[in-house]
Amino acid sequence: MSDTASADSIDKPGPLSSGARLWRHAQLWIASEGQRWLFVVKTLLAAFLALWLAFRFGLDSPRSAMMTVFIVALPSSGMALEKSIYRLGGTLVGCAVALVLIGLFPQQAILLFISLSIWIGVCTAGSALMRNARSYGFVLAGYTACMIAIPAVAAPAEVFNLAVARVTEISLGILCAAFINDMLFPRHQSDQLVTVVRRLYGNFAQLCHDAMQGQLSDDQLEKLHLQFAVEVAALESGRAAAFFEAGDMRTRNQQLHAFNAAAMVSLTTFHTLHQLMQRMRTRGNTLVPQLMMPLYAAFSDALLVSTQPAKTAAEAGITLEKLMLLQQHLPQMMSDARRRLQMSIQASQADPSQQLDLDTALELTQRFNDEFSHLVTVYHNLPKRLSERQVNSLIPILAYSTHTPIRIVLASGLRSTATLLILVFAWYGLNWPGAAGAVILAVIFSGLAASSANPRSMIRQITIGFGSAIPFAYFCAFLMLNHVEGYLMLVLSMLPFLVAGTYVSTIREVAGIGMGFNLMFAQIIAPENLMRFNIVMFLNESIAQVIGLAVAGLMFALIFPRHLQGARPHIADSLWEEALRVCVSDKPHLRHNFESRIRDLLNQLNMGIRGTADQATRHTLNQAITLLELGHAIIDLREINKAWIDGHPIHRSQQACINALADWFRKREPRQKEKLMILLAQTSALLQQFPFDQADFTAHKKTLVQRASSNLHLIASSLQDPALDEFVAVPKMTEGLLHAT
Amino acid sequence: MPREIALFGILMPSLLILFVLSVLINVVVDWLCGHFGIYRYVWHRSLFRLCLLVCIFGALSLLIY
Repeated sequence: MSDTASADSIDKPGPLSSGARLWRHAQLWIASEGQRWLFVVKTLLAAFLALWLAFRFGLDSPRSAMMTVFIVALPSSGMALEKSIYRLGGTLVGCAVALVLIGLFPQQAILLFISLSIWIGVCTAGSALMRNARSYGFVLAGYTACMIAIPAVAAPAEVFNLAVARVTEISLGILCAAFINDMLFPRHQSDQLVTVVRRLYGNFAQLCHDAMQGQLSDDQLEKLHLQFAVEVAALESGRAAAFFEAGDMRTRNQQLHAFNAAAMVSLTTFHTLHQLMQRMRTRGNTLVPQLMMPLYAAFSDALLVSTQPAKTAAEAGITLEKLMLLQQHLPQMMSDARRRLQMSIQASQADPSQQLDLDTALELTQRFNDEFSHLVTVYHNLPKRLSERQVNSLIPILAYSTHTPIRIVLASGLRSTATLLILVFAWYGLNWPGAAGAVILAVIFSGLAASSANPRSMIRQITIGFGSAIPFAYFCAFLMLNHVEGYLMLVLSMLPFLVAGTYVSTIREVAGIGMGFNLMFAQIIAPENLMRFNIVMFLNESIAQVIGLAVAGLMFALIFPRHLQGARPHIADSLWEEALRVCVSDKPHLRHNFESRIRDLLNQLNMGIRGTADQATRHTLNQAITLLELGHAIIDLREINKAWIDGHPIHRSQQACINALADWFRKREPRQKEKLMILLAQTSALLQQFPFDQADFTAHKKTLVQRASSNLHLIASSLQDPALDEFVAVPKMTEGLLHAT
Repeated sequence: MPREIALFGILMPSLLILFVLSVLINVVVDWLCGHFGIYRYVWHRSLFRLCLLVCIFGALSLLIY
């Protein structure tokens, strides 16, 4: 929540009067701590407003309204509104399902539980699939059904009233939270989105510039790729949240999608070019890197405005002009490079096979130039008004889509189902009145944690929060609240505890503890119009809640413990599946979907990293990036292949290559790879012999053959990359010693 | 105007239905405001949107009662 940008500008040394220094300190405080306290004030104001209204309306359980406020309290108003809307939607669906299930099995508890657990499984799987605010809606649809149906087992006739009460309380909480969050010093997501877009563009241009200047090591590039995947995902979630805010960000929705897509595609092209050059440099026997130097110099100059990449969309105009200028010179520079190579070949300083290397590199340069110009155009046009923008309807605008590996999705669904079934039958057998609370809580958290990056730590934090809330809640309920009279005194006695809890929840590392503390505090104090001070119930409920959470945590450790979000083996498998899809699928927008899915998998991989990445994770990361290159070349090849008629020798041979690639992606055995390499070489040789006869020869077909040969060349050189080999863990000495003892 | 409307046999306050309706209208108006750049001339965008909602809901309720 701290604003580092403003902190940088504040820390500049210089002679200052004491008043100005004080003012600067105040600004610094406002930017960091001030934002936190503002959040605390806003959240608590909304919570007590909701509680007061719930008292006034005489709702059954005012605490639900208050807890809703704590749940949807998020730092920016767009995020809060987004979460609120999905929460409302999920609650409505969950209520409907609960009514239907109770209606179907009013007397059959066992059947009811089984169908309920299936529903929970479906919802949890949905939430694990989405991993954004929508996944919260899924979780809600699941556990609301539980919250209504489980208490209704004993009294099926009451179920409708329960459902209505639940919806009323939640809507009240949501309305209060949305009102306060959006009206009182709102922090607009759209403002933050501008920063995200600028940072993404700046990092990207800097990456290209540094790489072209040869200032980036492989390790740095790896890190930057991960960071880029995270930024792309952040841009997407920020866009989704800003959509709900008042303002004109919504009209830029399409452009933001276009920006994201353009950034991903041009980074891939750039990376392919960079890898190709690196491989040639390591080989060391080719002139091509030297011939590309003037192009690289021209590009890296065009990428910068004075010494840095464009910081704002307006500055991007300068970059755009430079790129336009470069575009005019590009054909000249390319033919220069070709001529110099020809001269070297004639002087027999270089062998003719370098022609293909140069052609491939030049084609990639051309493509990078086009894609990057498109990106800069989109960026430059972003803040303009609708009427001033030229719309390029030729380029379809596609959204970044998330894609969780299907096995993780299924595992989380099954885990929730199992959690509910086990607990519900335990409850049925135990006959402990508090157990219903435990069941509901375990279900809630097995759903919520399924879509979180680190479920175990989330559950651990919430459990700590819950546990620490119990003594304070006891103190507050039985030593303070029984002496007070009136709403104001109720607020005053609960306030200090909730302030502490909310403040803790603004600290990112321990946010779960604060959240858990507040939820538990509101839950077991249970402020009602007619307060009940029942120690037995208090203890029953608090023990049940903690047990429920602990069981949820236990389930994550016991049932499919390796199928968590961001699990490396599953991500690696999904990467190969995506590559296979590229070879065989006939769906439209293959390139965009492939790109965004691989980036999303990279983002998930990053979520799974705790601390520094281990060897295996880094291997998977490199694999993903290499597959990205490979996939684009394959898609290109397939597109080119469509231009040839069926049965033409070139068509047949290229198709055979694609099939062999698909085969290799399926099995990944050395035998297939050998076969594949032979096929690739054969096809390349075939293309070299083109034209076979005069009838074949047209300018169009000649370019097709050229593009196909450079793609084949790319595929062949990417396949040599060691990143694609299966990962073999190198056993460490220490581990061996440990096993020996 | 009846105070409650029966929807599938469930009695609903007609104000609730009006509220939902006005939220829907507000979404459309909000979208139009964003599209035509009206929010550029507004100081507090969220407050503006809320006031619009209040106006729409008030007008609808006054029309009926």
